[in-house]
Amino acid sequence: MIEVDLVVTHVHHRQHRAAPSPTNAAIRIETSFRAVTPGVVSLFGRSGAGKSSLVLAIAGLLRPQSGRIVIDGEVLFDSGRGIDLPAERRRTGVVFQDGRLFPHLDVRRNLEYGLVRARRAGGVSSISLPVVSGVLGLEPLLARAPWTLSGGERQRVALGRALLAQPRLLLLDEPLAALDDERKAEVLHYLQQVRDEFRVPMIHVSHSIDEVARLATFVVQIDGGRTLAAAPLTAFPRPLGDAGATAFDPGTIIAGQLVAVEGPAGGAGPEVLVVEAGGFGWPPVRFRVAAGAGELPFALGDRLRLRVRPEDVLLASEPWPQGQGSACFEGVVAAGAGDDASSPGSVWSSGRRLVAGGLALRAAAGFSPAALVGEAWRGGEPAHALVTRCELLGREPMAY
Amino acid sequence: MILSEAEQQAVWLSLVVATRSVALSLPLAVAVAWVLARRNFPGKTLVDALVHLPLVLPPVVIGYLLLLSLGARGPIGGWLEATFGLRLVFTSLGASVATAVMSFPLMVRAIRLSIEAIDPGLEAAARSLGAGRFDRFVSITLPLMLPGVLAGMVIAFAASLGEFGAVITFVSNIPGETQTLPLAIYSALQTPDGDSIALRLATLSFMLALGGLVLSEWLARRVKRRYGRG
Repeated sequence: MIEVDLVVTHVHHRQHRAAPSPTNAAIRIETSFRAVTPGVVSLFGRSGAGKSSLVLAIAGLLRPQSGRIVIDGEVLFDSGRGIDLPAERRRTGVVFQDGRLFPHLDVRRNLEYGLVRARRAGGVSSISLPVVSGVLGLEPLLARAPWTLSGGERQRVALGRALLAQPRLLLLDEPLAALDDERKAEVLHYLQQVRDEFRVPMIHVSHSIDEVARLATFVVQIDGGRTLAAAPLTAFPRPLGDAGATAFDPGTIIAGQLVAVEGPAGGAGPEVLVVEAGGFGWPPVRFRVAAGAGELPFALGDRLRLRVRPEDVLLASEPWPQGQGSACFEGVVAAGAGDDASSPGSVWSSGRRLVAGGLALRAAAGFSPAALVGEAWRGGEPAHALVTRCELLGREPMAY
Repeated sequence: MILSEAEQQAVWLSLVVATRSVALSLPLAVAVAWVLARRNFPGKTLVDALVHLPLVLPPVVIGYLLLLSLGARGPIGGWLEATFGLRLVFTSLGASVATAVMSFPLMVRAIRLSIEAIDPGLEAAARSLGAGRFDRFVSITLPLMLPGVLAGMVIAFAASLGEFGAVITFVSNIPGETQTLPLAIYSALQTPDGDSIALRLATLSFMLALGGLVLSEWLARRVKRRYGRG
């Protein structure tokens, strides 16, 4: 269990500069959440919202004004009881946005820096160098100097170095922010690997919805120095805040099981995965999603994570012809507060929630076929949903 | 170029004085440079100015101040002699002290720049990886500032070889004891027919100084290559 209750005030100025100038505004952030471990907690919010200050405070590199940090029963900080474990004894591995590899050490000695100290401190070292270099693909880099690495390679080494310090908690401070899109995808893939292989609890800071949707098991939304919502990703509430500000809307995240792999439609191109999700007394729904190019990294039976965006769901009162789109199924339009068009301008204003087999899909009525536009859906009405497109986000982390 | 015994003595003495001078000032220079680079405290500007004073004061004035404080009857000099039997005036050790004071700002400057170039974030990273205060300094800060320390040592060494005013004022011009290269050149110019000796010694000190500068430049370039753009 990760338990965090913090009030952090942070004046933004470079550490070694002279006295803070009047332009250095103090940021005050309050947050409070409980998340089960292992798992990935994503602190989500716009850039400059002070999320990084929270990470520094949890790592012990910044002193919070007050609060409590408890990781799996181990108290790292408790202002009430006067407990403040120094950063070097917290065993929180941090991956910074800029990597911060030690320039005078080669990759191998960078990786070993925390490992050597963890062993010296007498802790068990269950995460070994060969295993980490294997998972993160670091073998060819071991003898290289940090400045010869690409941005993506640097972040992989930083990730490996933090892991090898045998952390009880891994802190990722916008680890992808400094990378271009291609590198982002590469490092994100490795982050998923680390999440699933090592099962070290992680707290991850990001302003990218896509990153959060692929990585998180638990989301904490922060805006204006306050915590707006904190919940498991799949149960995340209706977005809060003004439209366009920091609404967290990853679409519907669906976890399902890979039940079949079909050949590509025209004989060439990527293979099609059939993922089954559902339960709760309804017939399970089968989604068809294109696998990426290259060798298929999944096996039958694997649990995968899919995403369906509201604009990719169409509703009709008649059944859709079979074999269209990604999936079609029958359900009931959910009633309930928040389903009416009360917040103009937001994607959600036209949203309708469709419940089927325990899946709650949101459909944007504005994208419905011409025949359905303007049709009013009321709660409790039966409806047929067509998912025109869904997206594969990778492996679904173990259920905790 | 064959040197007479007296000339050899002057060269050897200069090297000894400069080496001891660097050894004397190095620990203090590292400490002062670190404090100036990483700490904020009231009176920092004053300390900074004091450190740089030998750069702007006439060397004779520094020599005179040393004589006043470290002379046999000075407050510190008297105490040193009474307690340790240590005499600085008119000794080669005194010459080292004078050159150390004169080259101190150069050394502090070089070391301070190299400390300021170290990203404090690296030390924070080391901390999160389990390194305590002393461990961090030894494993991260020290190796990263080493190029600056080496460059500072080379510059201070070269400057110590050439120091004239402070040395002659504080410890006088005694052949074999305090007569370093520049002082020997000065003495040669004072004697009739000393021109050729002066020229030879001047050439020699020119080569030593040039060697020092080339060495420090080479060190800086080497380090830049090793650590990349940062």
